Amino acid sequence: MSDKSNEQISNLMDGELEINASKFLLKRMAADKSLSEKWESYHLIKSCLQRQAGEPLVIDVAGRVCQELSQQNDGTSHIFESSTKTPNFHKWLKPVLGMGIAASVAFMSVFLIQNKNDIDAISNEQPTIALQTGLKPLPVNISANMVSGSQAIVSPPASLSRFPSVSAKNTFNYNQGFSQINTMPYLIILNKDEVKKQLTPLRINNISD
Amino acid sequence: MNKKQDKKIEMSEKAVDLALVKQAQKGDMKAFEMLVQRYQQKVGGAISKLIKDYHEIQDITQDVFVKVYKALPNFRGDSAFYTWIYRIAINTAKNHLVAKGRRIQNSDIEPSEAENYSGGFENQDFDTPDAHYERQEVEQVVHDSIEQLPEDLKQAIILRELEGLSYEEIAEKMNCPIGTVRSRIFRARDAVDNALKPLRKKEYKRTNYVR
Repeated sequence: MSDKSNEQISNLMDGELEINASKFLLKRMAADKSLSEKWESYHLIKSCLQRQAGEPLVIDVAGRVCQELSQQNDGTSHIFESSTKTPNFHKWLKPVLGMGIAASVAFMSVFLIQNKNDIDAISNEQPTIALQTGLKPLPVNISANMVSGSQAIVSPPASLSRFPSVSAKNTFNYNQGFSQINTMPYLIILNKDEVKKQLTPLRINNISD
Repeated sequence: MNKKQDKKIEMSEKAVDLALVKQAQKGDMKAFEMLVQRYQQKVGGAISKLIKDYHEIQDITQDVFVKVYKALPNFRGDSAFYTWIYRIAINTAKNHLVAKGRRIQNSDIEPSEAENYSGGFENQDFDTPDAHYERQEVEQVVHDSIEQLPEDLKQAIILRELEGLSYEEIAEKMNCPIGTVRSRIFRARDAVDNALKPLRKKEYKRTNYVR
């Protein structure tokens, strides 16, 4: 046992030893009898110096306590185990509950974000249609009525009705473009009657929930 | 001499207690034994405020630490360890007096006051003349050794143990680095320890406590 170790014990008992060295020394003392004897001896000196007049000098109660504890039949080492142990069902309940909550939160997040994207896309985007015929991109003339969040009634621009062949192609492209904007697959129904009625370019008139 | 350069983050006395408690909670009996060695004198002193007989003090001190060990899982470190065991000690002593049908005196002593409270037992003899002599012998050796120390060591250990100053405060008082204070206090303790060795061996052979 070196003087350095003894000095560290002296510092430790006064709370003046660096944290890592303290932790290391405490572990060493638990295993090294000569170190723990030095701990005891230094505390005896402290007790003698700090003892008040009239107080008895109490020494080696520790040995008697340990002896009594070891003699007790109930096995005090089990006290800590039983008191610190959580009930068995808690062991599996905790992770299952945690996973359940996490799954619920994830589901809700996906659901809400998707719905928000759908609405945002419809309200913010002003898509244009690039016709395969080489014409200028036309403003989208949409009369979109969301029906229960899953259906949209879309009317193509009236101008296209004059070119049925183009209109047929364009309808396809238009629908494709629309469905790309929205991540949710919508059933798009073309209302031909409305196309006939509207001669002016159509705009997004209304989006209802 | 630069005290700031010596400044490191030390484990406080409370933190040392807590570290030992945690080790003991994991079932390390040696750690608990070290806690008892650290506080047996203080607990015995607190109990002596209520009970005069030395043998009773010793038995109750032992009971207190057995209770402390069993209640250790409940200690969360919210209060200082000594404050916690002090309350257990006083309750145990009171229960002992009630069981013996004796009147409880000085029941309102607080932990902070207990160390400076003599309780009017200054002239009480706790034990047999022989035991009393043995206790005096140990104390005499300690005090003689302190007196024989070089002045700087004596001053450092007295400032620490009797005045209760921190190393930093001692360094300021003695106008020296903290490292020197550490060294001086250690050398003082080591010198006294060497003087006690023969006596302690004799005492431990005869009895397991000094009276």
